[in-house]
Amino acid sequence: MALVKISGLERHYQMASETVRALDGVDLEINEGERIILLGPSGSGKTTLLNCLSALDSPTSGEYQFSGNKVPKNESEAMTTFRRENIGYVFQFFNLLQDLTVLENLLLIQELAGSRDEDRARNLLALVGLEGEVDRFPAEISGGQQQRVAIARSLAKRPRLLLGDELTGNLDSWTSSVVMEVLVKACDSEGITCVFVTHDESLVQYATRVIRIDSGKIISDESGGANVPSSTPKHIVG
Amino acid sequence: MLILLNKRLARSMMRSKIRLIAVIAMVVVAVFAGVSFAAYAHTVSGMYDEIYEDSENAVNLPDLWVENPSGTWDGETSASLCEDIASNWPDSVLVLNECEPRLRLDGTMFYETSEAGERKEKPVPAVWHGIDEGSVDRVWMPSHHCCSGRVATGESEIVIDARVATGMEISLGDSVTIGAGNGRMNFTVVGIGLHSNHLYYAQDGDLFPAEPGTFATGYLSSEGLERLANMSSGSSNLLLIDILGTPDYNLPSTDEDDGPALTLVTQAMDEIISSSVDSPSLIYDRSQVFSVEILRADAEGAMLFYIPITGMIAAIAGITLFLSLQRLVQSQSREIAILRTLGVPRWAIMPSYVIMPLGIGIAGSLLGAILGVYLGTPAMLTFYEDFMGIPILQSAELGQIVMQIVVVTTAVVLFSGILPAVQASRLQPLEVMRGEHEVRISSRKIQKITSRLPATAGLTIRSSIRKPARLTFTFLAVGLSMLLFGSTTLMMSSMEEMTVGSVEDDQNWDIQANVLFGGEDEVIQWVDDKSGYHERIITFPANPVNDSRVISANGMEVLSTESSALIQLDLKEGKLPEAGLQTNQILIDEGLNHFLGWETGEIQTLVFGSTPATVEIVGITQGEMSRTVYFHRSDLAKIVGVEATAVLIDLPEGVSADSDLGNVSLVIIEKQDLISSYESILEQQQGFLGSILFLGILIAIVVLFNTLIINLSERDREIATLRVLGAPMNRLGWMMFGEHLAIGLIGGVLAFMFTLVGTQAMVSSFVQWSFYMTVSADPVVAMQLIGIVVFISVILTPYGMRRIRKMDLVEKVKDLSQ
Ligand SMILES: Nc1ncnc2c1ncn2[C@@H]1O[C@H](COP(=O)(O)OP(=O)(O)OP(=O)(O)O)[C@@H](O)[C@H]1O
Ligand SMILES: [Mg+2]
Repeated sequence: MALVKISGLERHYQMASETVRALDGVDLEINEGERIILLGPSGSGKTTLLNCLSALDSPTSGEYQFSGNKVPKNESEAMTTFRRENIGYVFQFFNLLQDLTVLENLLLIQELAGSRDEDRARNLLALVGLEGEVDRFPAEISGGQQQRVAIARSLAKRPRLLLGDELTGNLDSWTSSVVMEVLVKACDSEGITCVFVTHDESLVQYATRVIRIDSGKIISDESGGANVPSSTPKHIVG
Repeated sequence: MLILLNKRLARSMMRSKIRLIAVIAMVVVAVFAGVSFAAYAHTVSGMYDEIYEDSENAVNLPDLWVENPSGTWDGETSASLCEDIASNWPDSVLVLNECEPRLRLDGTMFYETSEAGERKEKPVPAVWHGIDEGSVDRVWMPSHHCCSGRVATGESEIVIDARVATGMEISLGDSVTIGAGNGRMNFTVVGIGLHSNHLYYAQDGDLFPAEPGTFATGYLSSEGLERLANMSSGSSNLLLIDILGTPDYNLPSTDEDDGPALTLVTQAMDEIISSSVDSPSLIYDRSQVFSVEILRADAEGAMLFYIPITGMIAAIAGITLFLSLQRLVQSQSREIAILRTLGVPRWAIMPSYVIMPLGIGIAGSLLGAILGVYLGTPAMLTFYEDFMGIPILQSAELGQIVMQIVVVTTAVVLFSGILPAVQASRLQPLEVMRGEHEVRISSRKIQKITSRLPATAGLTIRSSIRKPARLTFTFLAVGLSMLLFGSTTLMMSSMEEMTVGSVEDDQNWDIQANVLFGGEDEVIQWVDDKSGYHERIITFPANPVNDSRVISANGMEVLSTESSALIQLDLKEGKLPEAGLQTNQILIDEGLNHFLGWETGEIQTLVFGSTPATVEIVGITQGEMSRTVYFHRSDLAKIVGVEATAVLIDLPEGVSADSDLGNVSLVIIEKQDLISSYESILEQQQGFLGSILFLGILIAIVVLFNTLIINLSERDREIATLRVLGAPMNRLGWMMFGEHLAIGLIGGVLAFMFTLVGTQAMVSSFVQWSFYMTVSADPVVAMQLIGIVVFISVILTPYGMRRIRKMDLVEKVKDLSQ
């Protein structure tokens, strides 16, 4: 069964003189384990789609089913719960909590999801190559390192769907390839489904599927440069 | 570019409209309160001097008083005393102008009231003056609606005090029935006026103005009073000494002698008098005339306090503004950084951040000044006229006062705006771009301490104490904001404890009947007829050696700390005196210990008139407002030669004072009257203090609200991140609740400590010989203060929650990705 099933999704913004159709009838199925890159010109609706996927935003109309269940909309607490239980989110700016150490940033997410698991947090940090920095504060490590912490954080609670908007947009090309390698490795070993928005065509090599979008509509949907991972995910821990 | 920055600044200030209004409102309040207080202070302090002057419309207040506390001098003695003074006047820069003998007697006014349609006569304590020549200490009858008529000349004419006229509804031409320990007589009211001894209209020994209808004073001709008291012509018990000009005298509020010349004259007079007459006599200056001194002290206090009060409220406004601006600078740091990167010099950044506080200061000051001049000042002066019953003929010139206050306030406000402006100009572009300026790394120590806690709790604690400066200011603002409310509450509770509380709880008599010397037997007879219980007491003025300040020496039949005693003493240290020893044992009150440094175990000398008495201090009592020592009655009787000056009476149920008792006593004081007069004074003041309380609470709410909102908005980014990551509302709610509770508790405790220290400092600056009190940490007030702060703080949680709920996450994520 598909993890995500979207049909006829629309998101309109009512402006004074016109209606902006940021999403204009999107149909999309995402299977477990897929790694999707979402490409498109500026203003085409990528971010809007991602926000709808994460239940941060409510679509104006259309169907959205997650794992066979209807995703809540226009209901902030239910949407929050849905996010907490299913979604991982990596921001362009890393948005680590500055008052918490690297490790504590991960622990916080686990606490919110209901189970603190320090071993797993440490293993994830090791996976992204930061075992030596666990007790530092975010301000004490570099941008690329911070983004790797953010990735580890998004994985810490074992999300079913990981979303990233321009997550390498703020990094140089070498660092961004390091970050992507780490991300792919981690998602593979955890069997996590991913959707990343980017402007960077070179990232297509990390995707199993590439979707192009324009004016709120999907205009192409093809396989990417990477192989579909094995259908039985191996968990790194537990 | 700079114009744009200013525009943005103004726009974001306008966006937080409530906060802007709050800051301006506080500036308004500061200036308003300052102007009103200052106008009051300047008006009254000039006014008293004008009343006391020797001129057509003024009273010519004496510079020295010679008083015979134990009887009267006959006409011959009075005249010869004045002659002795004139011929033996010491060699001094001070020149004798006048010596006028005067008779002043305690007495009773038989006040007819109708209670429930029934006409009833009530004996009211009174003081009668027999004014002969009236060239010194005249009756004051200003051209004001308070006063009318003319002075009394005939032997059955009387001028009554303006407060009696209003309090008992008596007008010109009415007949009044009065007595002075010797029956009663009718007098015709020919004038209504005021007198220097009773400008502040309180009964002898009482701190507060008398309730209408409970105290009377009248200004008779000397023949009139002699007739009333059945005394021979020319009798007197006071010599009023007027010196040319107005010599400086020793102010009780200062430590050094402010009037050395007058002190020398006083000492010389003491020798003259004691060589002429045997009876002990008191010589004192204006500082020992209660009405004169309390009015002077009140005006002095008002003069002293209006600047600090204004400054304090302005400082609270300043702190609020400081926090707001700091927050603003922070939120605009990116723009500032961009400007700086584009090459805008540091000095060009600052002005826009200084203009704002300047604008707020000027706008608030203007509005505050207008309100202060047109609303506050008249209200304040009217309140004074109503409360004191003293007419204000002319109010002070306000121009300079307003300028002074506006300058102080604007300076304070401007100063608090400059700091963030400097901060803005100092921002390092690179740090801002990397987002480092916002991040003050939590200290390792705090991380260690909180690492065991759940990460959410650790986060809450760390982000609250991330900026120690801001946290300090938060608590400072909370503490200061409660100062006004807290000190008023604390003062009110101490006052109530010292007045109503002490009379109600510590005193078990029903009536105190003051008697003429030797007149106690008739009163005791009356008590026995009614099967009541009585104790004789002696109250006699004394003073320390070489010190003219008056101590009230109380001789009591029973000295006891038991709650069943007629007067229960509150012994702070030491033990109760024994009677009949070689050296008399006494208790002194806490105030004497404070002002004279007298301690338990010391041997000291008290002077009664000109008779010295050596005493041993065996203990210190507390709770007395005026300076008091306690003797065994038999000991004191031997010293002063009087067996009793009053009788304390405890009556059986259902028996009360009647005219028979009134006829045989000088003055009757009923405990119930005393309590209700205290209560009504407190109530009257509550109206005024209530508005201060309201103001205090308002300021506290604004400051707390503002500070906590800033606290919250600083966290927007953090909270948005948590929300996107799926943190549920109730979790954030509990985090916030815990934080607010902690801030409330710490802030509340601090506020109480601030209040206690502030109030104690304030009280110690205005206590004086004739009025002493201490303020202690009243647990009820403490709970109240802490409770209020916690309540305001916690009540903001729902507001904070609503804020988060209204947060547009899609919008925030966009922000987070920029
Ligand atoms: N809050 C909003 N109000 C009105 N219109 C909006 C709003 N947010 C987005 N839009 C419009 O919706 C459309 C899609 O926006 P979206 O942010 O999804 O684009 P995008 O593909 O992410 O662009 P970019 O690559 O520049 O990030 C755009 O035309 C945008 O102008
Ligand atoms: Mg976008």
